This record gives sequence, C-alpha cells and structure tokens, in this order.
Amino acid sequence: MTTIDEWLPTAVTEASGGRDAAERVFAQAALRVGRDPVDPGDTGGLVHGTVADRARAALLAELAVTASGPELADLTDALYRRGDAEQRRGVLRGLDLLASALPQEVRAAALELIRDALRANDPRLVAAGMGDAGAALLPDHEWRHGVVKLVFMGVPLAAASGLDDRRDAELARMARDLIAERTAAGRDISDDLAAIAVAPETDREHR
Amino acid sequence: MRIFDPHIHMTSRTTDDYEAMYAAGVRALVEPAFWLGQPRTTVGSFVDYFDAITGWERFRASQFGIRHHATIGLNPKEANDPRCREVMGELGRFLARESVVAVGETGFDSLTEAEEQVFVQHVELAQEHELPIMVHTPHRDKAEGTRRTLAVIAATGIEPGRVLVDHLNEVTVDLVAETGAWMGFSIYPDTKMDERRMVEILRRHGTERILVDSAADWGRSDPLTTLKTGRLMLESGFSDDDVDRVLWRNPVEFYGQSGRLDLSPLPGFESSGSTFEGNSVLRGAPKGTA
Repeated sequence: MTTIDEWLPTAVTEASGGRDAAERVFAQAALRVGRDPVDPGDTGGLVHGTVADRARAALLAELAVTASGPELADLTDALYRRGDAEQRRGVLRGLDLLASALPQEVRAAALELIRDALRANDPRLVAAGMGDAGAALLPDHEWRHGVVKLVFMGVPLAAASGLDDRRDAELARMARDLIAERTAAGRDISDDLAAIAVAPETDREHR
Repeated sequence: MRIFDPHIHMTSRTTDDYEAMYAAGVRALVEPAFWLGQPRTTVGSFVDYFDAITGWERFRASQFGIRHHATIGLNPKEANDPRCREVMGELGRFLARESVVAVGETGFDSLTEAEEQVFVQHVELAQEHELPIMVHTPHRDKAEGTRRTLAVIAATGIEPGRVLVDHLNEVTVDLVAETGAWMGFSIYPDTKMDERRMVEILRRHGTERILVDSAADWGRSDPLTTLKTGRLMLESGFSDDDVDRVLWRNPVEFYGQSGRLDLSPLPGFESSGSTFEGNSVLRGAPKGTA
C-alpha cells in the first residue's frame, strides 16, 4: 500500500495516456491505496468516503485541470457508467471536489450520474450522490427524496451535504408522514428522522 | 392451507425456496416484472428478463409443483431513465403471452412526471390488452404517493376492480378501500408489513378485496410470510374459510380477470393444496380459470 500523495502523481501521468489508461488507473486505485474509511468511526465510509474514494476523487480533480468542459463531461460519464460501484463512488466524490466550480458542460452530465446513483439500492452510492455536487445540482424534489432515501437506508444524515441550509417545510412534511407510518407500524424513529421533521423556520428561531 | 402468492420475485430465489413454498401449500404465484437491484441501461436487458420470467422461471417453478404467472411492465424506478423508457414499445408482444396475467408493477417511486406518464401508458396497455393492472406504491412519501396513484387511476377511467394497489400499510389502506380497488400487503421480516400488523388490518377491514404477498426478492425477505400470516389469522380467531379467501380465492379472483390463470395440478404433483372442508380444492375459483 502507498499513500494517496505518493500514488497521485504517477496515477495522473498514467491516466493522461488516453481513455483506456484512465479507466484502468481509476479501476485499480483501491489496490494501491487501500479502501478503509477515511474516518475510522464512519462505518463503510458512508459519510466521509474511503481512502480509495478520496484517491479517485483527487485523480478526477487533477485530470479536470487540463481537460476542456466537454472532455471532462465525457471522461466523467465514462468513468462512472463503465465502472463498478467503487469507481462510481470515486466519480461522485470527485464531482464533490469540483462542485463549486463545475464547468457548465459538465453540470448536466453530472446531474444524470447523481440521479443514477440515487436510483441505486447500494447505500454507499446513494450517500455519495448526496454530497456537495448533489446538493449543488439536484432540484428540490429529487434532493428531498434523496434525504428520505438515506433515512430508509439507515445512512447517517451527516452524509447529506448542506442539509441544514437546504431542508425546508416540505422535507419536514415528508418526515412527519414517515414518522406517522412508522408509529402506526410500532417501529422506532431515528434521531435523524425526528430532527428533519421539525420545520426549519421553527427550528432556526430556537437556535 | 392452499396458497397463491400474488407477488414474489422468484428469479432472485433458490430451489430450496421453491421446495419450502410447495411444502407450505403454495401452488401458484405471480412474478411481477421488477428491477434488478441496480439500474438497467438498455432495452435488451429488459427483453431478456421478460423472456426469463415468462419462460425459464415458469419452467423452473413447474419442476417444484408450482404454477407460475407473470406481470409485465417498466417498473417506476427505471421509468425515470430515458434509455429504459424505450422498452415501452416492446411490451405489447409480452402482454399477449398466455403466462402474463396483468400489467405491472407500475406506479410511482419518486413521484416524478416521467413516472406518471409511464404509469398512464401502462393503464392504457392494460385496457388495450384487457388485463388487470398491478400498481406499486412508493416507499418514500407513501401516503402522498398513494393519493397521487389513486388520482391517476381515477383520471384514466379504468374500472377500480381491475386495479391492485400493492405495498399498503395502516396509513394508506383506507385511501384505497374507499375506491373499490384491490388492496395488496407485502409481508416482510422487518419493513413494509409484518404478520401481526396484517392481522390487525384484517380485523378492521375484513377479508374482502385484500391480498397478502411475500414480495420476496433479492433483499431481506421471506417467501413463507404468506403461510405465517395464514397461521396467525387462524390463531387470532379467523376461520379456515377466511384464510382460504385471503390466501387463495382473492388472488385467483383478481388475476382471474385476465382469463389466463392455469391452476390445474402439474403432472406428478397433487392438486392445489389440501381439500377445504371436504370440498373441491378449486372451491371459489371463478369459472374458466380453474
């Protein structure tokens, strides 16, 4: 195993050798740097990702520096759609790094990838789709469904970037309906679910 | 106890499951077209799957004494992907097959416009092919999703008695009961419904137009929750006739509207479960379907 800092320069050089090379380096990142959670307390790396997620994200961000908008859109799409769930997470977390300055040409492609991740049943993918890029690109309706899906999957809501800024009365309404269902079913209500059920305006006044 | 599981995804299950189901009294089932747990990306992937659930899986079930039928449709989740929506043009030839007893699963997942458009197309296909329709209700925002589902059904003008609204719970059952549509309950080990809650709903609503299914698939699920619900009904004071109605006659009546159910015993296997109070094992099955 090597560290991300040691791996990255060679990986960038190799990955610059064309699409096939980029896909191979991206696919094999975990074999080089490991796949433990970045934060040992974060089981499965659901909230903060794994070391491999971080390496792949850093690689995508480095490749983005020299790529044009359309090139980056194509590369991102290929690395995601032609990759496995691990590679897809790396792409999503790479988009998080680029979220604040995503070229216009990449935004539409990125949104489709995030939507694909939110349709999946793999909690790690859904969690990665709800990072900074998801928060920046998802329309309100889809973003709220993403948050509630995390609740369904038992993923800590810390995985939803910008939750406190973006949660609204409609999300609180959805959460209250879910609480009603779970109460009728005699099931437990998680702290995360209870927290988003409070209308944000009310909640903010009390802070 | 004779059991018809009106919703189970057998392509995700093992031969041990088939043996246990037969031993439990399952003699017939419906396998609704569904997704794979991860999104499909091409029409070809659907076509092969539809062939499997109307072909190989039907044969596999027959080896274990169980009559297998299918429903065909583009599931709501994948209805959001334009690459998947192209399969809508392929559904007709599958809906014509003798093993297909309904259109579905269709309905809402994330309550999007694309889901609604595809849902309406499914209702139109059901009317064109004279088939009943099986409607999935969403996990997230279920009560709102169920209200929108019923609004779509009402707007299309399809006869509610030809619609099964599935995955209901305590919060959504009343909404569906008043429309005249059939009410499906998926009994799961941990989420959706369990046997105890199901029996409470049967106490409140009676057994009319109620179907109980295992909805077993690739997730944590149990293909015998139909049997377990039947047993708990008996322990809770329901009669053998009540159990037979919920676990056999109701699904037979609903899917029998297709005119395509085959409930005859498979060669080499005994007839549908035990006899019922000395009566024919096909007691209650509509004419022409047994």
